Amino acid sequence: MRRVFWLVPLLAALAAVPAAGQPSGQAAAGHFYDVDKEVRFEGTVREIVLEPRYKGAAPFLVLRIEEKGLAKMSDIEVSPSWFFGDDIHAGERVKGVGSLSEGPEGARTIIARELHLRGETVTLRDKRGFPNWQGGPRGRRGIRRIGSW
Amino acid sequence: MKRRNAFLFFVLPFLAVLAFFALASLFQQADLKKRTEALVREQLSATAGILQTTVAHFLDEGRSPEAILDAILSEKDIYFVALLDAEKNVLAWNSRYEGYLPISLREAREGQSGIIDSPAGKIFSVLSAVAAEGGRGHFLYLGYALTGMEDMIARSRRTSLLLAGLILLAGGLFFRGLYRLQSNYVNKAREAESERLEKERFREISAFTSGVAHEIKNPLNSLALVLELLDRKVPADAKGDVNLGKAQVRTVARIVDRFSRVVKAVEPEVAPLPLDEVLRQAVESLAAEVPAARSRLGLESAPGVLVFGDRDLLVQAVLNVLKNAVEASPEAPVRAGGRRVGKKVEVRVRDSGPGLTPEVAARVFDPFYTTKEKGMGIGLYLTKRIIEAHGGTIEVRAADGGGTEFRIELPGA
Repeated sequence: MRRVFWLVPLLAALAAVPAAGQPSGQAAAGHFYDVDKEVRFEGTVREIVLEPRYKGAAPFLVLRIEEKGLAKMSDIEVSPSWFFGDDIHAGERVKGVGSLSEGPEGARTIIARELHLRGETVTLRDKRGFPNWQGGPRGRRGIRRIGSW
Repeated sequence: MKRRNAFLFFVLPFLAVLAFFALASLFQQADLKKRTEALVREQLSATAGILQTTVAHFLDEGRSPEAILDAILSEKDIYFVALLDAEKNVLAWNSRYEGYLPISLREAREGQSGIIDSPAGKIFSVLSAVAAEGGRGHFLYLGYALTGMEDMIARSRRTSLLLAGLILLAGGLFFRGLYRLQSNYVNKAREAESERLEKERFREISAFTSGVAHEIKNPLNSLALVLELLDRKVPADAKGDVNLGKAQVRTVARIVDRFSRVVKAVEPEVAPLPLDEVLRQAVESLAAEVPAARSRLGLESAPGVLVFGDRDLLVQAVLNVLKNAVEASPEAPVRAGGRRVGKKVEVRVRDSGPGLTPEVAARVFDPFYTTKEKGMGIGLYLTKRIIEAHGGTIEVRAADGGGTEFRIELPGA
């Protein structure tokens, strides 16, 4: 039996969207999507948490996963919870691509760009790390999920 | 005007104008883009210069990298900024977008500038060296874009598209109108040509008929006189044959007269006439001519309706239509009616015969066109001429429930 069941849309009510035009990306010096440090990851979800990651931004959905061959757990930083519209459960296998980065308290953290879950691929950022939930004036490349639940 | 000419003189120039507009818009867009980019580059260079000095000053003051970035990110056109040490390690950074700092530290070179095509628009970036006191080297990585630049370009593109659409729409409407005008003109020209041919044919027939009538009438008159004289001289038992000859001469004379009447111009002497009287007179004439049809004729005419017309000609016209109806439906009833419709007067004659095929209906008013064995194709043709000479119209159509209906419209008095 699964230990944790998260219905992400319910968490969206807790999430706050940052005001437009406000600087919202600041974090620890090494915590950014570094194109030089892209890695692939694959593991089993052990815990799902919501954590503030960037100053002034909504809490992020973070998957704590157990990767094969690694003693420590890895944090997969997904996206603001309101953007991630799929169910996810502890015990599920996930894999994807992201940038290796420094997390709080030195935890191994990967800022996810693509997440493969139950045979589906969720694109979270573009190749340079631009977050898809930000859309932009052109908007077409961004996924706007506000109000689509 | 032929379609090819219309294309050459109207469509082609319009397409050329549209193409010119599209090209001009494209060039304008490209120019706008180029100018905007140049402006952004200038702005970026100026901003980077100012920030280099400011950051150097803050570093000299001993402020922390985070505090320095907090202080300089108030500029609304800065999308991201990072402070790097001499080994290009990121000391602090800030971005409008969570985790977005598009720099490859492996490839970053001092003075290197670039354009990053992001979903938020084009971001111009530059990596510049910052020299603080004591020889401490730092780098400042800056991402800059003029707020609204993309919006402005997009708006300009939208305006161009809208204008092109409006030109296209206006052109479409113009050519639709032109096409209709052209079609009307062609149809009218065809009708005029057809009418001209008809008149020419009629003139030829008239000339021929007049000539034949003239040539026949003279010997016919002589023949009538001879038969008259013969009638007085022949014995009683031969009188029957002479009378038969006289009757045949009269028949020929009548036919010639009818032909002569057809070719004569119809010149009505109009006066206000009670419509019901005209119709009744026509019905009575027909009943006298074809007594067997009397019981089948029905007349319904509103009293007090006046029509402008020549009594004899109108009676003749209605009589012809009634006669045609009676012959078309030998056993069935024929109904005639008249009423006022607005400023006009309407006469309807309806039979319950087998009806007309569309081909016959199209030719029913043609001169010398007939489907009857003994007909000459003159009656309805003459009727049409009389009605038109009165400024009216006549049409034929299939009646509801079978049969044929003639509808005559005349000016009311």
